[in-house]
Amino acid sequence: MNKKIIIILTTVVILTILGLGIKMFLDRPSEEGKMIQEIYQAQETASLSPGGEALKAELIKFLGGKAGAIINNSDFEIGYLPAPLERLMIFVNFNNWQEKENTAISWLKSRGFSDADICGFPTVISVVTDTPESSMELPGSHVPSFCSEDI
Amino acid sequence: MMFKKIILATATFIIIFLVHPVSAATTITSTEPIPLGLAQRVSNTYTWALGIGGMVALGIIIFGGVLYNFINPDLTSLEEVFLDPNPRVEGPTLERLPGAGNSSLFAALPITEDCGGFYNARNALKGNFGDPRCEYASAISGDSTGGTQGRTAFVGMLRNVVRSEVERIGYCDANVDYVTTVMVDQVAGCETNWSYNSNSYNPRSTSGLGAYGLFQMNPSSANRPYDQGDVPWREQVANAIKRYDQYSPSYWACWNRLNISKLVEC
Repeated sequence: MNKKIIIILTTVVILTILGLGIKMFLDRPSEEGKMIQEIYQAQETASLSPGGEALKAELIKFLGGKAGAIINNSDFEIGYLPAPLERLMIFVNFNNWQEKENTAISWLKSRGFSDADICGFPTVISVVTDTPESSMELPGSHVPSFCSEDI
Repeated sequence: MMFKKIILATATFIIIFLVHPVSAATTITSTEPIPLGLAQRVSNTYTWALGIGGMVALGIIIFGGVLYNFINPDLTSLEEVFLDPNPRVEGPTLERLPGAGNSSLFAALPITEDCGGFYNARNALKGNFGDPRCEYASAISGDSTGGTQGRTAFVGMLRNVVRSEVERIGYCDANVDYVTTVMVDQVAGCETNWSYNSNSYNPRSTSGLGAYGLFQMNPSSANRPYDQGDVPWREQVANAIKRYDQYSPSYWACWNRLNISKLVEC
């Protein structure tokens, strides 16, 4: 009878460990989940260098503290969202979105922003399309790749 | 291969539970009562079967409990299986009778306002139900002045409305930021292909009734609490946030694919 109890307890312990292991495995956020966590974290820890602050002030001056587009063309839109959760938004159109994303980031760099400032603003990129059936194929909102390496 | 394993397992089971008691019985001294082998074997088998069955059942219950409570706590919310206490029931009306003619009451959300030609059958398949004040149309078409144009301008408005709805619930600051970010950047974004068009419509919804608006929710005719997407976008937001708070966010496929928690620690 004692043997039986030991076997039962051992099985229960093994199953519990197995269950917790599966839980930990399945609980991992997906790629999209990690992206949104990176955005949330980037907002909570946003910080710009003094030089970046000056560039930001110059860049958004004409918006008068409101949300709006800073530059808007057929490939991408770079916009500003004020506090709380201040950030730069980049909307790129779906076709060749990676190329357009790089062009948009290059535009920000051409204005004097460093990688650290782009990440520290923070900057959030979304890929836009009007095709309804492709929503799950689109990359979710994300921070630039060089920012997620830092986080 | 599998078949051999099953035979091997069965043979092991027979040797352990059926043969073993008999061999043990042969070592019993002659002074002891002669055991009835068959009865003992049956009894042993029964006891072991009961023990193993109990063990397996316990394991399944524990495993199921772990799966249900930890891995997907939102699998089924009890409140979701309750019936709506005051459903709006529409009886037959004259307009519905054959030969009653067309009635705008039953027309499929006609385009009453196309915002200067901005909305059409491509970007507002079910009409302009979501943007009666043309806020989205003005932002996207660049009609606004003073730097409040572009998709960012509308996302800014959307984010403010989402935030105030989340604050109204009474979440802590961390969760106000978290839920606002998730609902704007992921749920509304993904549900509308990041166009943030409040007139988005998808006829191929899970419910079969069509998905409407920023959060691709059911039409009002579904009569489900806080599940109305065919309304102006501020109401869409209010419904979505209440739905998020009071029910499971797993309602949205775009939330499900994140595999993240509903709230963060305050």
